Amino acid sequence: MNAEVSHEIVLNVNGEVKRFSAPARRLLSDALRGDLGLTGTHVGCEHGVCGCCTVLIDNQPVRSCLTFAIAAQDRKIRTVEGLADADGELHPVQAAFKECHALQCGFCTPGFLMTATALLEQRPNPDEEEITEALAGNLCRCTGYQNIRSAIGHAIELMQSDI
Amino acid sequence: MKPAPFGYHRATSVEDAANLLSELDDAKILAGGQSLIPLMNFRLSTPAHLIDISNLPELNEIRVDDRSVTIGAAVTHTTLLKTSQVASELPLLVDAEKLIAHEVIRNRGTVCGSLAHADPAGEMTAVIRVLNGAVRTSSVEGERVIQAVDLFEGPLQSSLTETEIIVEAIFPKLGRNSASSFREVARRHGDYAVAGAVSVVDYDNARSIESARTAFLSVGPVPILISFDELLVDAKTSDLGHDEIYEFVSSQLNPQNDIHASADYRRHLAAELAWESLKACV
Ligand SMILES: Cc1cc2nc3c(=O)[nH]c(=O)nc-3n(C[C@H](O)[C@H](O)[C@H](O)COP(=O)(O)OP(=O)(O)OC[C@H]3O[C@@H](n4cnc5c(N)ncnc54)[C@H](O)[C@@H]3O)c2cc1C
Ligand code: FES
Ligand code: FES
Repeated sequence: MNAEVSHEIVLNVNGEVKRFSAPARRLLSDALRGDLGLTGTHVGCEHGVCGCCTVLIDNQPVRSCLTFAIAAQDRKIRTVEGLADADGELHPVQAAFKECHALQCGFCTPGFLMTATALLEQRPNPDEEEITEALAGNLCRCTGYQNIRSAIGHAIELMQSDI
Repeated sequence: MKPAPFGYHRATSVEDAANLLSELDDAKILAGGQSLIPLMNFRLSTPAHLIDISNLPELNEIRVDDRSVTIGAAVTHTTLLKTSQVASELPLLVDAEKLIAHEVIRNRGTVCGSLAHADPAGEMTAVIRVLNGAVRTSSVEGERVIQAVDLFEGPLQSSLTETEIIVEAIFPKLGRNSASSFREVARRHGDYAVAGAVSVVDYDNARSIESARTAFLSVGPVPILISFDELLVDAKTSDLGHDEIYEFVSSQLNPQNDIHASADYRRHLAAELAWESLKACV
């Protein structure tokens, strides 16, 4: 078989331009983790169901396991590594997850954090139904969803008291 | 698992995509990738080339005129849901979209992709069938229009040729004397439906039912349409009886047993959902 063609891929991740070479079949999830060392984005099912690979592309949550890195060029990608400030201060959504005990093993957490961040950027005051609807696409096997839901409520309070 | 190697081509126009599709061996269109990439990750699909049409501005259009809502092949489920004109002109599209997966998937997946994918569990296949819609396609051989009734041949099998691209989907609007309703049962919100029914009822000016039909998802190899005209013509709304509808539907459906549900359960659900969705139209 012929050697597989490698492409020069340029991604904008958390505001930084990153270059690497990879074949067209490189999933965005694997590019973030393997090529760029951003292992905060997790990989579970690789068919779009679990949600732990969720990142933001142009501020919309998407599955990085169902996106090819080569097709995500020219877009703005945000991962969990981009949430906290440069000085390490947690993003309100992260702080709320910590305070409300919204994680145990943490495997699902990056996906929930990105999904919740996108929700609160689009709708700073979501109602109960909008919160449930937004979180319904992410699975957590150990914490349970009640604390995760409370964390969203707390994040809203933190964000409002920030201003 | 990971996808098998393939060549990636970002199309620069519909014509370019059509040329590539005919020149390259074993090539497939990549739209939102929300159905194709899972299949590739599990190596259930191993195309040699992908032609990405998701960035073509000419395909990212929704047009509404007197007769129909026309949706370009790059329009995502989310874009459709957020287009307020669609909600007012053909609310059935919005009712259906809310049942499709989760927002994260809808942000990438396209309406035309779900028609090309021809999954009989896909909400849009049933919607285009009940509305008697169509898709417009393009290939090196030219353009053609495929009516919804001719588009679906089997599970994940459309009547598109290997070199044909869906350019847009045409959903006829409902008149002022028509009502529609979508009902489905899924294990969890956002999952593919175990069964679903989408109904359209047309009235005459005296508010008598002129015609009624239901398209079903997840109960056969393709979306199935049942017309109730022989039962309902001239019926007053109050004559719509549960048992009559239930019997009429269940005698005509032949779902299969699978890991998600038995054939009997699916048939039962479909008949109940048909009744509920018809009732919601009256
Ligand atoms: C977790 C999960 C849950 C889901 N739940 C649902 C659900 O409940 N209901 C539902 O309906 N869908 C569901 N989907 C599927 C989703 O709606 C897909 O977006 C859609 O079915 C396919 O659209 P796409 O743009 O992603 O197509 P792609 O994955 O890019 O393509 C799918 C197929 O269609 C072909 N194709 C795409 N566009 C064209 C075109 N313009 N011309 C010719 N061929 C084309 C491709 O070659 C491929 O064979 C789900 C997906 C996931 C991952
Ligand atoms: S790894 Fe992407 S959704 Fe599960
Ligand atoms: S914290 Fe363990 S899976 Fe959610």
